[in-house]
Amino acid sequence: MAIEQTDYLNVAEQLSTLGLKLPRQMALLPEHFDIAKSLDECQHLVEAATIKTVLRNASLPLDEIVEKNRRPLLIQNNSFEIVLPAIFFTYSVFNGDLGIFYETAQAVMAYLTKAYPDPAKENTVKMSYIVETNEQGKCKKFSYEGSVDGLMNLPGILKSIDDE
Amino acid sequence: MNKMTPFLEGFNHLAKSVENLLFVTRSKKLQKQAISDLKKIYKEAAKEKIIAIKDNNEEYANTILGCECVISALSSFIEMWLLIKDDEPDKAWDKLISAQKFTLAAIRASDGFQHLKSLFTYLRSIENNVFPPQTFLSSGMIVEEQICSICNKNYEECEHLVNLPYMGEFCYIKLGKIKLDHAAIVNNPADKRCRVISFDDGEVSRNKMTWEETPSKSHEGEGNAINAILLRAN
Repeated sequence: MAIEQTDYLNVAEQLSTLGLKLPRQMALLPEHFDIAKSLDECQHLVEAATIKTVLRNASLPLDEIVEKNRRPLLIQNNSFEIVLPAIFFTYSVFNGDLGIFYETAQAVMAYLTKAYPDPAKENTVKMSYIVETNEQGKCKKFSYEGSVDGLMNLPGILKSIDDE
Repeated sequence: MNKMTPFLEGFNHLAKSVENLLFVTRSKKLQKQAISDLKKIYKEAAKEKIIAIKDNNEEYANTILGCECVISALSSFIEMWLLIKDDEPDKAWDKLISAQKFTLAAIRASDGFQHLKSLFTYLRSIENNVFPPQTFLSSGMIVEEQICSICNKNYEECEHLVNLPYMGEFCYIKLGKIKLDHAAIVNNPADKRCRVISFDDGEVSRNKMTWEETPSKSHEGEGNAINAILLRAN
Protein backbone atom coordinates (compact mmCIF):
# COMPACT_ATOMS: atom_id res chain seq x y z
CA MET A 1 0.00 0.00 0.00
CA ALA A 2 1.38 3.41 -0.96
CA ILE A 3 -0.03 6.89 -1.19
CA GLU A 4 1.94 9.35 -3.24
CA GLN A 5 1.32 13.07 -2.80
CA THR A 6 2.23 15.47 -5.62
CA ASP A 7 1.37 18.99 -6.69
CA TYR A 8 -1.22 19.11 -9.48
CA LEU A 9 -2.14 21.75 -12.01
CA ASN A 10 -4.90 24.29 -11.35
CA VAL A 11 -7.95 22.20 -12.23
CA ALA A 12 -10.34 25.16 -12.59
CA GLU A 13 -8.05 26.77 -15.17
CA GLN A 14 -7.58 23.52 -17.08
CA LEU A 15 -11.34 22.91 -17.09
CA SER A 16 -11.77 26.36 -18.59
CA THR A 17 -9.05 25.68 -21.20
CA LEU A 18 -10.81 22.48 -22.25
CA GLY A 19 -14.23 24.15 -22.26
CA LEU A 20 -15.54 22.02 -19.39
CA LYS A 21 -17.81 22.87 -16.50
CA LEU A 22 -16.48 23.55 -13.01
CA PRO A 23 -18.12 21.16 -10.55
CA ARG A 24 -19.71 22.48 -7.37
CA GLN A 25 -18.17 19.79 -5.16
CA MET A 26 -16.75 16.78 -6.93
CA ALA A 27 -16.32 15.26 -10.38
CA LEU A 28 -14.45 12.51 -12.19
CA LEU A 29 -11.58 13.71 -14.35
CA PRO A 30 -10.82 12.01 -17.68
CA GLU A 31 -7.47 10.38 -18.45
CA HIS A 32 -4.76 12.75 -19.75
CA PHE A 33 -6.68 15.67 -18.26
CA ASP A 34 -3.50 17.32 -16.98
CA ILE A 35 -1.65 17.24 -20.30
CA ALA A 36 -4.51 17.63 -22.79
CA LYS A 37 -4.65 20.72 -24.99
CA SER A 38 -8.22 19.91 -26.01
CA LEU A 39 -10.94 17.49 -24.93
CA ASP A 40 -10.15 15.31 -27.96
CA GLU A 41 -6.90 14.32 -26.25
CA CYS A 42 -8.76 12.97 -23.20
CA GLN A 43 -10.20 9.50 -22.68
CA HIS A 44 -12.51 8.11 -20.06
CA LEU A 45 -11.69 4.79 -18.45
CA VAL A 46 -14.58 2.36 -18.93
CA GLU A 47 -14.65 2.11 -15.12
CA ALA A 48 -15.70 5.78 -14.93
CA ALA A 49 -19.32 4.90 -15.66
CA THR A 50 -19.32 2.36 -12.83
CA ILE A 51 -17.77 4.76 -10.33
CA LYS A 52 -20.28 7.45 -11.30
CA THR A 53 -23.11 5.06 -10.50
CA VAL A 54 -21.48 3.93 -7.25
CA LEU A 55 -21.17 7.55 -6.09
CA ARG A 56 -24.65 8.49 -7.33
CA ASN A 57 -26.18 5.47 -5.55
CA ALA A 58 -24.40 6.62 -2.37
CA SER A 59 -26.01 10.09 -2.79
CA LEU A 60 -22.63 11.80 -3.14
CA PRO A 61 -22.67 15.22 -4.86
CA LEU A 62 -21.02 14.19 -8.13
CA ASP A 63 -21.24 16.68 -11.01
CA GLU A 64 -20.71 16.13 -14.73
CA ILE A 65 -18.00 18.31 -16.22
CA VAL A 66 -18.46 17.17 -19.82
CA GLU A 67 -21.69 17.71 -21.74
CA LYS A 68 -23.29 14.50 -22.94
CA ASN A 69 -22.63 15.15 -26.64
CA ARG A 70 -18.94 15.89 -26.01
CA ARG A 71 -18.01 12.77 -24.01
CA PRO A 72 -14.46 11.57 -24.70
CA LEU A 73 -13.74 8.07 -26.02
CA LEU A 74 -13.82 5.22 -23.56
CA ILE A 75 -10.82 3.00 -23.03
CA GLN A 76 -11.08 -0.49 -21.59
CA ASN A 77 -7.99 -2.22 -20.19
CA ASN A 78 -8.43 -5.96 -19.73
CA SER A 79 -5.98 -6.30 -16.88
CA PHE A 80 -6.92 -7.42 -13.41
CA GLU A 81 -5.45 -4.30 -11.91
CA ILE A 82 -8.42 -2.12 -11.03
CA VAL A 83 -7.63 1.37 -12.31
CA LEU A 84 -10.24 3.93 -11.34
CA PRO A 85 -10.66 7.48 -12.64
CA ALA A 86 -9.26 10.37 -10.63
CA ILE A 87 -11.82 12.11 -8.44
CA PHE A 88 -11.56 15.89 -8.14
CA PHE A 89 -12.83 17.67 -5.03
CA THR A 90 -13.30 21.43 -5.00
CA TYR A 91 -12.09 23.74 -2.24
CA SER A 92 -15.62 23.89 -0.86
CA VAL A 93 -15.35 20.21 0.08
CA PHE A 94 -11.82 20.55 1.46
CA ASN A 95 -12.87 23.57 3.46
CA GLY A 96 -16.18 22.14 4.53
CA ASP A 97 -17.43 18.59 4.63
CA LEU A 98 -14.37 16.33 4.91
CA GLY A 99 -16.78 13.45 5.44
CA ILE A 100 -17.29 13.38 1.67
CA PHE A 101 -13.72 12.12 1.25
CA TYR A 102 -14.46 9.19 3.56
CA GLU A 103 -17.91 8.45 2.13
CA THR A 104 -16.44 8.36 -1.38
CA ALA A 105 -13.72 5.86 -0.44
CA GLN A 106 -16.22 3.84 1.60
CA ALA A 107 -18.69 3.61 -1.31
CA VAL A 108 -15.97 2.59 -3.78
CA MET A 109 -14.48 0.05 -1.36
CA ALA A 110 -17.87 -1.49 -0.59
CA TYR A 111 -18.59 -1.92 -4.29
CA LEU A 112 -15.17 -3.37 -5.15
CA THR A 113 -15.36 -5.84 -2.25
CA LYS A 114 -18.68 -7.19 -3.55
CA ALA A 115 -17.95 -7.04 -7.26
CA TYR A 116 -14.36 -8.30 -7.21
CA PRO A 117 -14.02 -10.90 -4.43
CA ASP A 118 -10.36 -11.64 -3.90
CA PRO A 119 -9.77 -14.77 -1.81
CA ALA A 120 -6.14 -14.99 -2.96
CA LYS A 121 -5.51 -11.34 -2.00
CA GLU A 122 -4.08 -10.56 -5.42
CA ASN A 123 -6.13 -7.59 -6.62
CA THR A 124 -4.62 -4.15 -6.64
CA VAL A 125 -6.53 -0.95 -7.08
CA LYS A 126 -5.31 2.45 -8.23
CA MET A 127 -7.33 5.52 -7.30
CA SER A 128 -6.50 9.20 -6.98
CA TYR A 129 -8.04 12.12 -5.17
CA ILE A 130 -7.25 15.52 -6.63
CA VAL A 131 -8.02 18.15 -4.05
CA GLU A 132 -8.26 21.92 -4.43
CA THR A 133 -6.56 23.09 -1.27
CA ASN A 134 -7.10 26.86 -1.45
CA GLU A 135 -9.41 29.42 -3.00
CA GLN A 136 -6.82 30.32 -5.63
CA GLY A 137 -7.17 26.85 -7.14
CA LYS A 138 -3.96 25.22 -5.87
CA CYS A 139 -4.39 21.46 -6.17
CA LYS A 140 -2.70 18.38 -4.77
CA LYS A 141 -2.96 14.83 -6.07
CA PHE A 142 -3.08 11.86 -3.70
CA SER A 143 -2.52 8.60 -5.56
CA TYR A 144 -3.31 5.30 -3.87
CA GLU A 145 -2.10 1.93 -5.07
CA GLY A 146 -2.70 -1.21 -3.03
CA SER A 147 -5.32 -3.61 -1.82
CA VAL A 148 -9.02 -2.77 -1.86
CA ASP A 149 -9.06 -2.97 1.94
CA GLY A 150 -6.48 -0.19 2.17
CA LEU A 151 -8.56 2.34 0.20
CA MET A 152 -9.71 4.03 3.40
CA ASN A 153 -6.13 5.22 3.95
CA LEU A 154 -6.64 7.63 1.06
CA PRO A 155 -9.07 10.00 2.83
CA GLY A 156 -7.11 9.39 6.03
CA ILE A 157 -4.04 11.12 4.67
CA LEU A 158 -6.07 14.25 3.85
CA LYS A 159 -6.61 14.83 7.53
CA SER A 160 -2.89 15.43 7.97
CA ILE A 161 -3.00 18.07 5.21
CA ASP A 162 -5.89 19.73 7.00
CA ASP A 163 -3.82 19.83 10.17
CA GLU A 164 -0.77 21.43 8.53
CA MET B 1 -32.20 -15.68 4.62
CA ASN B 2 -33.61 -18.28 2.23
CA LYS B 3 -35.54 -21.27 3.51
CA MET B 4 -34.18 -24.71 2.59
CA THR B 5 -36.24 -25.69 -0.45
CA PRO B 6 -36.39 -29.16 -2.06
CA PHE B 7 -34.22 -27.81 -4.88
CA LEU B 8 -31.56 -26.51 -2.47
CA GLU B 9 -31.59 -29.81 -0.58
CA GLY B 10 -31.00 -31.72 -3.83
CA PHE B 11 -28.31 -29.25 -4.86
CA ASN B 12 -26.47 -29.52 -1.53
CA HIS B 13 -26.64 -33.32 -1.65
CA LEU B 14 -25.21 -33.48 -5.19
CA ALA B 15 -22.52 -30.85 -4.50
CA LYS B 16 -21.39 -32.84 -1.46
CA SER B 17 -21.12 -36.09 -3.41
CA VAL B 18 -19.33 -34.41 -6.33
CA GLU B 19 -16.72 -32.92 -3.96
CA ASN B 20 -15.45 -36.46 -3.49
CA LEU B 21 -14.64 -36.68 -7.20
CA LEU B 22 -12.54 -33.52 -7.47
CA PHE B 23 -9.27 -35.48 -7.47
CA VAL B 24 -7.18 -36.51 -10.45
CA THR B 25 -7.08 -40.15 -9.32
CA ARG B 26 -10.84 -40.67 -9.37
CA SER B 27 -12.25 -42.88 -12.14
CA LYS B 28 -13.12 -41.23 -15.44
CA LYS B 29 -16.39 -43.15 -15.47
CA LEU B 30 -17.51 -41.68 -12.13
CA GLN B 31 -16.32 -38.22 -13.07
CA LYS B 32 -18.26 -38.31 -16.37
CA GLN B 33 -21.35 -39.46 -14.49
CA ALA B 34 -20.93 -36.53 -12.09
CA ILE B 35 -20.79 -34.08 -15.03
CA SER B 36 -23.98 -35.62 -16.39
CA ASP B 37 -25.68 -35.24 -12.98
CA LEU B 38 -24.52 -31.62 -12.75
CA LYS B 39 -25.98 -30.88 -16.19
CA LYS B 40 -29.34 -32.27 -15.06
CA ILE B 41 -29.45 -30.18 -11.90
CA TYR B 42 -28.40 -27.10 -13.88
CA LYS B 43 -31.63 -27.47 -15.88
CA GLU B 44 -33.59 -27.78 -12.63
CA ALA B 45 -31.88 -24.64 -11.35
CA ALA B 46 -32.99 -22.71 -14.42
CA LYS B 47 -36.61 -23.73 -13.79
CA GLU B 48 -36.33 -22.88 -10.08
CA LYS B 49 -34.97 -19.45 -10.95
CA ILE B 50 -37.89 -18.71 -13.26
CA ILE B 51 -40.27 -19.42 -10.37
CA ALA B 52 -38.24 -17.18 -8.03
CA ILE B 53 -38.36 -14.37 -10.59
CA LYS B 54 -42.13 -14.81 -11.04
CA ASP B 55 -42.47 -14.58 -7.25
CA ASN B 56 -40.34 -11.41 -7.31
CA ASN B 57 -38.03 -13.13 -4.81
CA GLU B 58 -34.69 -11.53 -5.68
CA GLU B 59 -32.79 -13.04 -2.77
CA TYR B 60 -33.76 -16.56 -3.80
CA ALA B 61 -33.20 -15.85 -7.51
CA ASN B 62 -29.65 -14.71 -6.64
CA THR B 63 -29.12 -17.82 -4.51
CA ILE B 64 -30.11 -19.97 -7.49
CA LEU B 65 -27.75 -17.91 -9.66
CA GLY B 66 -25.04 -18.83 -7.15
CA CYS B 67 -26.04 -22.51 -7.41
CA GLU B 68 -25.74 -22.30 -11.21
CA CYS B 69 -22.24 -20.86 -10.80
CA VAL B 70 -21.24 -23.63 -8.36
CA ILE B 71 -22.58 -26.27 -10.76
CA SER B 72 -20.53 -24.75 -13.60
CA ALA B 73 -17.46 -24.47 -11.37
CA LEU B 74 -17.63 -28.11 -10.26
CA SER B 75 -18.31 -29.28 -13.78
CA SER B 76 -15.34 -27.30 -15.16
CA PHE B 77 -13.14 -28.59 -12.33
CA ILE B 78 -13.89 -32.25 -13.16
CA GLU B 79 -13.59 -31.60 -16.90
CA MET B 80 -10.13 -30.16 -16.22
CA TRP B 81 -8.96 -33.46 -14.70
CA LEU B 82 -10.56 -35.48 -17.52
CA LEU B 83 -8.78 -33.36 -20.14
CA ILE B 84 -5.45 -33.74 -18.33
CA LYS B 85 -5.96 -37.48 -18.30
CA ASP B 86 -6.77 -37.30 -22.03
CA ASP B 87 -3.48 -35.43 -22.69
CA GLU B 88 -5.25 -32.15 -23.55
CA PRO B 89 -3.51 -29.65 -21.23
CA ASP B 90 -4.39 -26.51 -23.23
CA LYS B 91 -8.10 -27.30 -23.00
CA ALA B 92 -7.65 -28.35 -19.36
CA TRP B 93 -6.16 -24.94 -18.57
CA ASP B 94 -9.25 -23.22 -19.98
CA LYS B 95 -11.46 -25.39 -17.76
CA LEU B 96 -9.36 -24.54 -14.70
CA ILE B 97 -9.75 -20.83 -15.39
CA SER B 98 -13.49 -21.31 -15.96
CA ALA B 99 -13.75 -23.15 -12.62
CA GLN B 100 -12.00 -20.22 -10.91
CA LYS B 101 -14.24 -17.64 -12.62
CA PHE B 102 -17.45 -19.49 -11.74
CA THR B 103 -16.29 -19.90 -8.14
CA LEU B 104 -15.74 -16.15 -7.83
CA ALA B 105 -19.08 -15.55 -9.53
CA ALA B 106 -20.86 -17.73 -6.96
CA ILE B 107 -19.25 -15.70 -4.17
CA ARG B 108 -20.56 -12.53 -5.85
CA ALA B 109 -24.04 -13.96 -6.34
CA SER B 110 -25.02 -14.36 -2.72
CA ASP B 111 -23.59 -14.12 0.79
CA GLY B 112 -24.44 -17.80 1.25
CA PHE B 113 -21.48 -18.80 -0.95
CA GLN B 114 -18.68 -17.04 0.93
CA HIS B 115 -17.32 -20.44 2.06
CA LEU B 116 -16.23 -21.04 -1.54
CA LYS B 117 -13.21 -18.82 -0.97
CA SER B 118 -11.35 -21.98 0.10
CA LEU B 119 -12.33 -23.73 -3.17
CA PHE B 120 -10.91 -20.76 -5.08
CA THR B 121 -7.65 -20.96 -3.12
CA TYR B 122 -7.47 -24.69 -3.90
CA LEU B 123 -8.02 -24.01 -7.62
CA ARG B 124 -5.31 -21.37 -7.49
CA SER B 125 -2.91 -23.89 -5.93
CA ILE B 126 -3.67 -26.29 -8.81
CA GLU B 127 -2.88 -23.48 -11.25
CA ASN B 128 0.47 -22.92 -9.55
CA ASN B 129 1.47 -26.52 -8.91
CA VAL B 130 -0.06 -28.65 -11.69
CA PHE B 131 0.46 -26.34 -14.66
CA PRO B 132 3.72 -24.70 -15.78
CA PRO B 133 4.04 -20.88 -15.55
CA GLN B 134 2.22 -19.09 -18.36
CA THR B 135 2.68 -15.77 -20.17
CA PHE B 136 -0.50 -13.71 -20.05
CA LEU B 137 -1.79 -11.02 -22.36
CA SER B 138 -4.02 -8.06 -21.78
CA SER B 139 -5.66 -5.92 -24.41
CA GLY B 140 -6.81 -2.32 -24.32
CA MET B 141 -9.80 -1.32 -26.42
CA ILE B 142 -11.45 1.90 -27.47
CA VAL B 143 -15.17 1.57 -26.79
CA GLU B 144 -17.85 3.76 -28.31
CA GLU B 145 -20.88 2.50 -26.45
CA GLN B 146 -21.68 0.70 -23.17
CA ILE B 147 -25.09 -0.89 -22.74
CA CYS B 148 -26.31 -2.35 -19.44
CA SER B 149 -27.24 -6.04 -19.73
CA ILE B 150 -29.97 -5.67 -17.10
CA CYS B 151 -31.99 -2.74 -18.43
CA ASN B 152 -30.52 -2.30 -21.95
CA LYS B 153 -30.03 1.40 -21.29
CA ASN B 154 -26.81 3.38 -21.57
CA TYR B 155 -24.72 1.86 -18.76
CA GLU B 156 -23.58 5.27 -17.59
CA GLU B 157 -27.13 6.42 -16.99
CA CYS B 158 -28.68 3.44 -15.21
CA GLU B 159 -28.35 2.41 -11.58
CA HIS B 160 -27.01 -1.12 -12.17
CA LEU B 161 -23.42 -2.03 -11.39
CA VAL B 162 -21.27 -4.43 -13.32
CA ASN B 163 -20.56 -7.81 -11.65
CA LEU B 164 -23.41 -7.48 -9.13
CA PRO B 165 -26.48 -9.76 -9.21
CA TYR B 166 -29.96 -8.45 -10.01
CA MET B 167 -32.91 -10.84 -9.84
CA GLY B 168 -30.82 -13.88 -10.73
CA GLU B 169 -28.59 -12.31 -13.38
CA PHE B 170 -25.24 -10.59 -13.19
CA CYS B 171 -24.97 -7.14 -14.64
CA TYR B 172 -22.40 -6.94 -17.42
CA ILE B 173 -21.62 -4.33 -20.03
CA LYS B 174 -22.47 -4.96 -23.66
CA LEU B 175 -19.86 -3.12 -25.68
CA GLY B 176 -20.89 -1.43 -28.90
CA LYS B 177 -18.27 -0.70 -31.56
CA ILE B 178 -14.88 -1.63 -30.15
CA LYS B 179 -11.44 -1.07 -31.62
CA LEU B 180 -8.24 -2.71 -30.40
CA ASP B 181 -5.94 -0.04 -29.01
CA HIS B 182 -3.00 -2.00 -27.62
CA ALA B 183 -1.87 -5.35 -26.25
CA ALA B 184 0.55 -6.02 -23.42
CA ILE B 185 2.16 -8.87 -21.52
CA VAL B 186 0.96 -8.70 -17.90
CA ASN B 187 1.26 -10.76 -14.72
CA ASN B 188 -2.38 -10.52 -13.71
CA PRO B 189 -4.75 -10.35 -16.69
CA ALA B 190 -8.53 -10.12 -16.43
CA ASP B 191 -8.78 -13.43 -18.28
CA LYS B 192 -6.02 -16.00 -17.86
CA ARG B 193 -7.25 -17.80 -20.96
CA CYS B 194 -5.59 -14.94 -22.85
CA ARG B 195 -2.06 -16.24 -23.02
CA VAL B 196 0.83 -17.29 -25.23
CA ILE B 197 0.05 -20.77 -26.60
CA SER B 198 3.35 -21.36 -28.39
CA PHE B 199 6.48 -19.42 -29.21
CA ASP B 200 9.29 -19.73 -31.72
CA ASP B 201 12.87 -19.93 -30.55
CA GLY B 202 14.14 -19.36 -34.09
CA GLU B 203 14.37 -23.03 -34.99
CA VAL B 204 11.17 -24.61 -33.68
CA SER B 205 7.80 -23.57 -32.33
CA ARG B 206 7.30 -24.81 -28.79
CA ASN B 207 3.98 -25.28 -26.97
CA LYS B 208 4.03 -23.44 -23.59
CA MET B 209 1.98 -26.18 -21.95
CA THR B 210 3.34 -29.46 -23.38
CA TRP B 211 6.82 -28.24 -24.40
CA GLU B 212 6.32 -30.20 -27.64
CA GLU B 213 8.00 -28.93 -30.80
CA THR B 214 6.42 -28.15 -34.15
CA PRO B 215 8.10 -26.56 -37.21
CA SER B 216 8.95 -22.84 -36.79
CA LYS B 217 6.49 -20.36 -38.29
CA SER B 218 8.89 -17.41 -38.18
CA HIS B 219 10.00 -15.79 -41.41
CA GLU B 220 13.54 -14.52 -41.86
CA GLY B 221 13.97 -10.90 -40.80
CA GLU B 222 10.60 -10.72 -39.07
CA GLY B 223 11.58 -11.79 -35.56
CA ASN B 224 10.25 -14.82 -33.72
CA ALA B 225 6.55 -15.62 -34.04
CA ILE B 226 4.23 -16.36 -31.13
CA ASN B 227 0.83 -17.94 -31.24
CA ALA B 228 -1.40 -16.32 -28.62
CA ILE B 229 -4.99 -15.72 -27.59
CA LEU B 230 -5.67 -12.02 -27.04
CA LEU B 231 -9.44 -11.90 -26.48
CA ARG B 232 -11.97 -14.48 -25.39
CA ALA B 233 -15.73 -14.30 -25.39
CA ASN B 234 -17.19 -15.36 -22.04
